[in-house]
Amino acid sequence: MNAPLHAGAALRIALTGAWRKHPPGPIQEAMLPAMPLLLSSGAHGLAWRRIPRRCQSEFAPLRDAYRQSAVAQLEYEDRLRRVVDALHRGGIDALLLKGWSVARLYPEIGLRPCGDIDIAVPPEQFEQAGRILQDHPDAAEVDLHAGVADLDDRTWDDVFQRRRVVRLGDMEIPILGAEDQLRHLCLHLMRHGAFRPLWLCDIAVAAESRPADFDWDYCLHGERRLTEWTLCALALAGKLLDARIDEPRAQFTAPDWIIHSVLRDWSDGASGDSHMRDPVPLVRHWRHPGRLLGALRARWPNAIEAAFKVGASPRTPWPVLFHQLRYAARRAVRLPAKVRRASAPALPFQVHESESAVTPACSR
Amino acid sequence: MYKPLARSEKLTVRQLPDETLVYDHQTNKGHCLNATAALVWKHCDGMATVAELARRIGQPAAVVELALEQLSRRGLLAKPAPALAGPARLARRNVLKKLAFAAALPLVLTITSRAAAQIGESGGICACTCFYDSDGNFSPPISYGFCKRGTCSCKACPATGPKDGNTVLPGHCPGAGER
Repeated sequence: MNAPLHAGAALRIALTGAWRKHPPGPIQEAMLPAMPLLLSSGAHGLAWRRIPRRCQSEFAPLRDAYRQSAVAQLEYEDRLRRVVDALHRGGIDALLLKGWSVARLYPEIGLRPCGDIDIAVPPEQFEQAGRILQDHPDAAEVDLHAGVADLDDRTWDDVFQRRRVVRLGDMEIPILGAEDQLRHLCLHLMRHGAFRPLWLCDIAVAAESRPADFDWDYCLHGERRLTEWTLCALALAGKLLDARIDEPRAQFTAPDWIIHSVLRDWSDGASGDSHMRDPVPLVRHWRHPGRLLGALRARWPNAIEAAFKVGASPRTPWPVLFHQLRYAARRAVRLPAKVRRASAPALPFQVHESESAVTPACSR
Repeated sequence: MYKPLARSEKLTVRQLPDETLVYDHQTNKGHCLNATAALVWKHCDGMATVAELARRIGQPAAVVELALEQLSRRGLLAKPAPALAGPARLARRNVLKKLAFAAALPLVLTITSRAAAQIGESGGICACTCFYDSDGNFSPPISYGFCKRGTCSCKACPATGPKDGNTVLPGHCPGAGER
């Protein structure tokens, strides 16, 4: 038996090429310690495809989770049909983002777990769409977006005009055009600090399954900084997951600090944006200085997320610590207001019994 | 004479690498059929008896009976399979014991989906609107959030709520505060 692998490296090995119809050879027992990470990252289906038959029993939790994901996807498809139908009947020009629009590119059902249904609508139809969904039985699963936030350098009309319509049973689902989808996946990944390995697989699968008439010029057209981040995400998919993107215009070298940041987050099993990782609001630690340091450490910004959100380029000449400090300072400026609110008798959020999850009150 | 017929309404069938996934839209449950169970199920055309089915797929009748029992219990047959009486059941078990090493026995695993699991949960589904960005700044319109059984699922909002503390649009989460 091989030596156990470092968790982030194991994840990287398990996912390399795993989205292809014929994935690379089986992965080994050395991957066993990484199983919790494979499960928590949602990569169980992709990893399960590469488990050799002789050790399938040891990896049974991956198979069970994969089955669950397959069932969940069928259920998701039902909900998606109902939601798109409701919006369509209401005369809303909706576009499905991420989720099933990418999951359908994987060779088997359940390989890419789908969560919420992200629907983008034109900003002027946003409220109307909200009213339609408010009474919809699947409302709880929908995230409604006014426009496409990660494609800020394109107009809604441009994006909508280039949409594709794909069939899901008897329903036609409008999704982003291939070029916009790839750019959107890349920018979405980087905005969130690339903490989720499956999002990098999404880029790999979208890039490898792009149509023959894919327009690289359009995909890479737009604000220069955002295009650099797009290229950086593509380079990451190539470097970490061996995605095949044989396009001279898409050549870019991901800086080392970005690669290190991604692998560190993968190893840590990061499960959200840096400021969301501690579910207890900072203001609640304020009265317990002993816990404050740990809470601040948990909130220390992810390097990629910080650089992206302060408007830097991936080739920033500044040390990344500078961007992290800027981003942390920006967030800290808002702290006094939060403290004031926390001191008020009625807090605008509720705390569950375990204090493990704090959520805002919904009537805000 | 019982001639099993596979149910086809309100089912979605998908092939997984080593098994067949049957999703029942009536119960929101998924059933994973191994190769033997799937083979039996696919041959249930309502025309063949158990013995004929067994011949057709080249499996002992006991294996077909076991598969039908499992499929029937999960509502995957149009008409339920008749239950075997005590002695016949015992005889079948003995046959299956002998076959266990020689043949792949049928196996149907049921997976309860999220929707089915949630049916039993308390609280209702409601909706709320959120016009705040992830930093808590009023920034209309960014995202529309919804509540899930008393818990706001609006991902765009910061955990501490809007920066200015305002109420935004009328939104009500009946479950909030009850859990």
